[in-house]
Amino acid sequence: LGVHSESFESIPMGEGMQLHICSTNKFKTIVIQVHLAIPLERNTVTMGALLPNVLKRGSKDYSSELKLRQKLDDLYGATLEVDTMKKGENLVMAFRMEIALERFLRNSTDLFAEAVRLLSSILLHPNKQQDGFSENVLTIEKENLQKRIDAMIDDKMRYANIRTAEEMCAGEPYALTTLGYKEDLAGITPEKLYSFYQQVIEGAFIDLYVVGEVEADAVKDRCALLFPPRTQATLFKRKPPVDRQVEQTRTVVEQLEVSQGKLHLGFRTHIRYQDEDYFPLLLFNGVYGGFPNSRLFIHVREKESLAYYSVSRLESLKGLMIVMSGIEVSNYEKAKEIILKQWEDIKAGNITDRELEQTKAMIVNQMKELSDTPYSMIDYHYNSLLGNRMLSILEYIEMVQGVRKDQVIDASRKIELDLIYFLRNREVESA
Amino acid sequence: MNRLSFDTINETLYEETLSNGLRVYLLPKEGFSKTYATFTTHYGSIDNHFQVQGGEEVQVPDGIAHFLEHKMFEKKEGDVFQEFSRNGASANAFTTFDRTSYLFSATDKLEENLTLLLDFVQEPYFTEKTVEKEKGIIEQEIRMYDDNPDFLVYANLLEGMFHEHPVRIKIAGTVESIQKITDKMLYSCYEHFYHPANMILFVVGGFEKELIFELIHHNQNEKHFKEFRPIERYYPYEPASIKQKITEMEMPVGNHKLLIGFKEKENGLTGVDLLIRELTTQIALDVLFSQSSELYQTLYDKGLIGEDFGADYSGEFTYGYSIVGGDTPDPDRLLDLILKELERIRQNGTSPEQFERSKKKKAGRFLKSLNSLEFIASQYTRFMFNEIHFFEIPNQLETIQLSQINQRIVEHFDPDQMALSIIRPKK
Repeated sequence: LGVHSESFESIPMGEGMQLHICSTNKFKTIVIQVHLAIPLERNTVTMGALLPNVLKRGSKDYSSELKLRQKLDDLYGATLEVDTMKKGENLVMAFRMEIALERFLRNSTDLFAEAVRLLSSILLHPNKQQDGFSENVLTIEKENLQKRIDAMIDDKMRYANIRTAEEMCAGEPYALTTLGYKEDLAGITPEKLYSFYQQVIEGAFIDLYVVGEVEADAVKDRCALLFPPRTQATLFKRKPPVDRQVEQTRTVVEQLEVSQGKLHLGFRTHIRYQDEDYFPLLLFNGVYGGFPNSRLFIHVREKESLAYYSVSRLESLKGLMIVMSGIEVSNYEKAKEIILKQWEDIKAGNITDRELEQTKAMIVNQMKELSDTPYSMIDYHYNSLLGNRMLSILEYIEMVQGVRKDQVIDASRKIELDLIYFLRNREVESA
Repeated sequence: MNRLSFDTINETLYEETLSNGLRVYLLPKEGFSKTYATFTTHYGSIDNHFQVQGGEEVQVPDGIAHFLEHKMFEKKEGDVFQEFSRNGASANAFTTFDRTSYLFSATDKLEENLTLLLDFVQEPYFTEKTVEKEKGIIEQEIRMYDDNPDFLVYANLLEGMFHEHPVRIKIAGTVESIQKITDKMLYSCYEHFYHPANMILFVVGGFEKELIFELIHHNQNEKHFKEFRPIERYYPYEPASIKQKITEMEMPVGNHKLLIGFKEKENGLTGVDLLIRELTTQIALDVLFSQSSELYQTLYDKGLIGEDFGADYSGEFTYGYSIVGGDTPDPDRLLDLILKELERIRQNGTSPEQFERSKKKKAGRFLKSLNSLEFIASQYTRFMFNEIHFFEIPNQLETIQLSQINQRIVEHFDPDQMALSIIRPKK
């Protein structure tokens, strides 16, 4: 099949903790990524947004971020990035480092060893003052987070997505945004955040990824003592994501000063990655709106010139599908009708062999391309872990190839339209 | 075909110029599943006034290069995405100020996909009717950008920096300007700029080079092209000065956005000179504004900037500029502190330690960029149109001295060459 067989070797490192190593020499860097996963909950989500940003401001060994950043530059421009992500109903705090391979540089220090030391310093030896984090650092990071929350409206597509999840999943953890909430900020003290940090270190599910030209044994030795041993008792409890039947489709219209309307449709698929009918659903999404050969692209864009983009995306860990289009506000009804009509058409059993084959080919290609970037390899593996279904790329491809048309049609009938969200301009008052 | 080895980075490039003038570059990458190919014409949004030898002088509406990019995907049988999908390839295209690139990435059926790429770009098919129809789609694309404050604050800055140069015009044009575009104009642009001698084919990834070379040869030999007549591109006289000191706008945004631009006084560089100017400017920007600069950390601790703060340089044959900035609660204070630091560093220069660190960082980051086939193809093509190899960067970087950086800082960050663009939150 022409797939390169890069895969992860997973090694348990203690309670709720795993090391995943992919040893490959096709990249010119080594990527190290740590994921700390906790349940997505209203009372900790803002701290989850803050914590990685506070940690990356320095540590016991680096009294300021300036010193830390200069050290990274000395390591030939090693990068360190932090992020807080929503994965299904998990909140995942991610720390990423990427370092150049020294064999391409005039360098003799072990850059990988230095990077692990630095990451360990950031994660496990923070700059503690009395009983908490530095007051100054926390103040700045709170201000920064507040600004990021305010800036949520800057990117309209992202904003419409956040609002769609918020409205559609109201009352469920998935409704929460990983940016956190402004009203929580005042109550987060250096002590409170520090105690949250301790809970995370003792209780989060930790996955440590290393991809690149490394010796697996050496990595194991180096990473074995990275995190302190933990007990089952301190681990966060995992909960399955919430699903519910749709009683009635709701419509939410929001007004903002915009030039283009954003029409987002939220569907409940009731199918998650671990479920038997996931692959038929995946094919449905592909035929419907996953690619430039899909129904939405052809009908909304090419045939009717209504949009520049009209796509559908699956949230496979939660069981959702979101359709997104940018349209002229006055074309709302027309666009909605075409989008829904294409779904109805597929439900009625109309899928051509060609559509199905094209979609399979596109998905297979995506899967084969995965192993060409370290980050997509990690992302696929981690989603599989959280989704409780670990398939090799070849197994995944086989599953895709095996899907029959009738199964795709069945999947299309199972999903329900839950929410229509429309971000539009302000009405101009007529005189 | 010519074999070029770049031993320090362990890359081998194969190049050949075909008899029709097409420049072909192949970069096999061991271990990669996918192959990524770009077919690029040296024709972008700034080429809006031109003349071929013996032909008429032409001035075209804003946004036409980008419009043509859209229409190239149309074929008699439908759109070409359908064909690529059948082969499991993802196809796309993009237009910049200077280039238009058509591309695909695929892990299978490379020969079919490459043939498809060459054929669809070399056989335009669109009509008056389909050109009209495309206007609705592009209008929505333009409106999407019009709602994007980060795009606008940048576009406004370019309008403020340049008096006449077409780099001040948005790549996609405006909703009004695209209405003037006709099928005839598109064909005329196509005739002028899509000759193989004005194009580069770059293929990178896990493939057999002999097979691919043969395919390209065969495909191109079968086609007939008119003799290439050099194109005269006209750019209006552009004064060295900036046009307008400050451009301001109000929008629904969370924070103020401030971008500071520094306009290049002199242009006309190519080859190594262009590359050295780019590298020295990037190091200067890094020393001044990166996360490891004292200025950045001071501004961050004062709450004046966030992680989105950054700096970037763009320099081509006819224009050049640096842009610095990001979201801020207080644009005036941010500007004031940046100007003070610029004044200080223009007088004192940067330190040897900071310079060495920045150079090391650049070397490492260059290696990092080599993991991305997309980045390699796009940058290689860009540098080849400027007559230099992208893989020359590590060697050229080695030659750069501290004195060059300090000289560049004095010359480039001239307050007289500075323009500002601000977007203020609208309540």
